[in-house]
Amino acid sequence: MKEDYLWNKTGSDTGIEQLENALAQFRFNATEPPTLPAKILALPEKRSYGFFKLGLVFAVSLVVVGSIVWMRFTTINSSAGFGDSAKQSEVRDVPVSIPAVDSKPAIDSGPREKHFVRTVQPVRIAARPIRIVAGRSQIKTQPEKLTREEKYAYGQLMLALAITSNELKIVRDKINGREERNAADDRQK
Amino acid sequence: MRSLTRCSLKLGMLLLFAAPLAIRAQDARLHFEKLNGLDTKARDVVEVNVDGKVLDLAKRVLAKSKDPDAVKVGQAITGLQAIYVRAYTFENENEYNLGDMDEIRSQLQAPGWTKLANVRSKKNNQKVDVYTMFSGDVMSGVAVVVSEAKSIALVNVIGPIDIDMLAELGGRLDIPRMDIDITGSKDKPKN
Repeated sequence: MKEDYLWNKTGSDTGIEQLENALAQFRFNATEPPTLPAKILALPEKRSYGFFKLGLVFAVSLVVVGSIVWMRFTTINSSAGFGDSAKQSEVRDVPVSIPAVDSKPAIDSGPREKHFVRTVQPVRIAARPIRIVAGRSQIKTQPEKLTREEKYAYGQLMLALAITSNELKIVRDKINGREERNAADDRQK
Repeated sequence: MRSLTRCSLKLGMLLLFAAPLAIRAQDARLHFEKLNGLDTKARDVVEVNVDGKVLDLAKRVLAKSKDPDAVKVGQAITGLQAIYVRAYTFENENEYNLGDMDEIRSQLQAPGWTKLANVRSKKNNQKVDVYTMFSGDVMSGVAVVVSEAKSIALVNVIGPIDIDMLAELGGRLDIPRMDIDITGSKDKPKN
């Protein structure tokens, strides 16, 4: 193998030449670059979810703000008392008559100008039913239903207490009556 | 092991002190057996025994209630152990044996009972006795015995009870005012 043929193609080297001939079909051929097909395929466009996301964020924030406002409102009501109308304040313009600075007689002063002073006055508003929420479950406000045995026991106890209270009241009334009668007799004497 | 011994010792001491109190409270129980036959003779009969489980159930019901009067009643009967009531009203006079009532009154002469009130009236032959029993400073029983010409009534309360509060609550809550003719129309409390 001669080095010259391999590097600058001078002289001859049969081995390399044979190899060249064998790979001739892969030889570089300087031609025009390949052109793209005339028809360009239109790929489906990617949908943008930006508007939907924005709407979702807005809705969530609206719910959060709404629930905070509602909770604050119920807290105010509950602090005002059970079942009673709650008191809240209202800014109201109250007409007042302010005497003129100069102490001229009323005849000379003419019609007085009405002044308004902004005051804060309590206003009664109807209270909403209060719901006390403990965790996820709501505390039961309804009275629990009594079983037959409980009803019977309660009835028996109430009957016994009723008779007892009746008897004790009779005794007390009798004693009080006698004491009053004795006091009246003493007064007469 | 040592803690177990100490614990059982404490329990024993507690039982030792609690037992006489319990026995003392049971002393306040009156015996109404003599009146057993009266339910057939009487026009109106009320026989109520509230103790043990029935009383516990009733207390539980009261505890559930949020009514202020119910709360008061619940407080008045916190330590109540039992309550026995007998009330009989007869059509005619002297349909019951006076000796039976005297026998019941004699039970109240036993040591421990203290007379709180005693009313005697010739009108209707009325006799009213109120007795209380105390264990130390704690009331352990009340007995009310009322007898008239046409009626008798007995109340036996075992355990502490607020008498004044009960008298105040009569007719309120779900305590019905009883229409038992035991004192005559003039003496009956107005509803």
